[in-house]
Amino acid sequence: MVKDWQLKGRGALVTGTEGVIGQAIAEALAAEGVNVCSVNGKEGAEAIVEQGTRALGRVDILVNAASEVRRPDNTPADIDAASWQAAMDRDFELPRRLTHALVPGMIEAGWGRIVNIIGPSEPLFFSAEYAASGALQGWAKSLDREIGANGITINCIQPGIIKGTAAAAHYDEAALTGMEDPVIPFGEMGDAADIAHAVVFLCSPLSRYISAIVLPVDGGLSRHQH
Amino acid sequence: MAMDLKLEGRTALVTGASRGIGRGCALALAAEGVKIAVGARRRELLEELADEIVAAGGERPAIIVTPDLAAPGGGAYRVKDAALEALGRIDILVNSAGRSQNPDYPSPMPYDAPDAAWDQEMQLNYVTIRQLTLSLVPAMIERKYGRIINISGKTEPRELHTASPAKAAVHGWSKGLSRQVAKHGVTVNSIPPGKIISEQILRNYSEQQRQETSKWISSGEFGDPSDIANLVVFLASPLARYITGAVIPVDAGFRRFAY
Repeated sequence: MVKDWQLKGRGALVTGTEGVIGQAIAEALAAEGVNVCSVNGKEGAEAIVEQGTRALGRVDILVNAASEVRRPDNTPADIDAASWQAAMDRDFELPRRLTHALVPGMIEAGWGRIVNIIGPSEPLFFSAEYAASGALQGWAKSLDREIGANGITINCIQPGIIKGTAAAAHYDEAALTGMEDPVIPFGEMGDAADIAHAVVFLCSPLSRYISAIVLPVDGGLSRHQH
Repeated sequence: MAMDLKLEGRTALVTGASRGIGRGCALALAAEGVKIAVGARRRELLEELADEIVAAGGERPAIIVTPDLAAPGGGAYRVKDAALEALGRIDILVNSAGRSQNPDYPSPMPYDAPDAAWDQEMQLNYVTIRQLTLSLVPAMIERKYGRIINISGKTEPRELHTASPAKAAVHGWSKGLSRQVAKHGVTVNSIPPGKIISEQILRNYSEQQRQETSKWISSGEFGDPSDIANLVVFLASPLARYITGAVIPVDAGFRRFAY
């Protein structure tokens, strides 16, 4: 029995589609009848918004999936001011600017979906990207207070270690999933499709009452229990 | 390829199924072709639910009249036995039986409330869940498919009430269990509901109190049991195989903590 996720005809702007996660998200939304405008997030916010609205007319769904790989083994001295700014610009400022530009249209339509693909909340090493991800989580929660009454939900998804991502290349799969004390209880790195499934669900009208959450899709990797 | 839930032919036990969230979960799972057993105290309400499922084209669920799951002892095991007898196996367990406060006491709970008044709510809201789940998990491990979905609570108590320690216990225990069974295709997740219109809510909140509460809901409105049920159905499916050990609020932003 094929499930109707009630997304046919919606317009979605998806950033980061040069990566496996962004690409899987764009494909999964398209398979549900969504009109998808894919961008790689390297351009500025204004250019991306212009591209999206030109392609789609109205942007109902924004998926911010353009975050970069975290480089391990940094000390504060390894990251100069320009690098800090670049991480914040890419992983926090760009999603924020895109969202703020597109929210008025969603408010006017009385419907919208914002999904942010973010980094983990349990940093294993020092990097600028962790700070940017934390900023994005706090911003998303507070923005929900402001826009939630307009049929708009805003959520964050925290992928674990996903096959084919630049981040996954840093890890030895055998060590991560070894039976003695597996870093990933599931036993394998995840597929980009695992993330895409959660994105489709959070974009669907069926998740209208889910907002301002941080959803781990990580095979049990994270330790916090709430 | 469009996203297919692939739930036809799976089996599920839903506790607390006579009203509210549990009832909504039963309806939603049955609509996806899941064979279900529904458990609650009140047979006549379960029969009504069964009639509704059949009228919607689903298979008539097995009805389990449960003992008082707040009472000490092994009521949960009798529920487990009845469910296995009815369905042969349980792939999906929705632990929805529970309540926010001991019904014999005011809120907040008085400091001098006796131990038994606390113990029975811990029994209902946590121990029963643990007993029922752990008695069903070994077979799920053997079949390499299992879904444990707990209807829990937001653990941001405004004052002293009996559910908050029990729901926190559910979250902690769920996290440990989830890590242990993940490699066997079994996921364990919890859903803190926000303000969902239900018999419990209508009993506990006046119209004015509901309006006051709505100010903390980002959407401004109470939710519906189907809002919870939609997530339950997603989590129950193979699509959510990589989601485990999670606490996933369905509350339109009601809870206060950001992370």
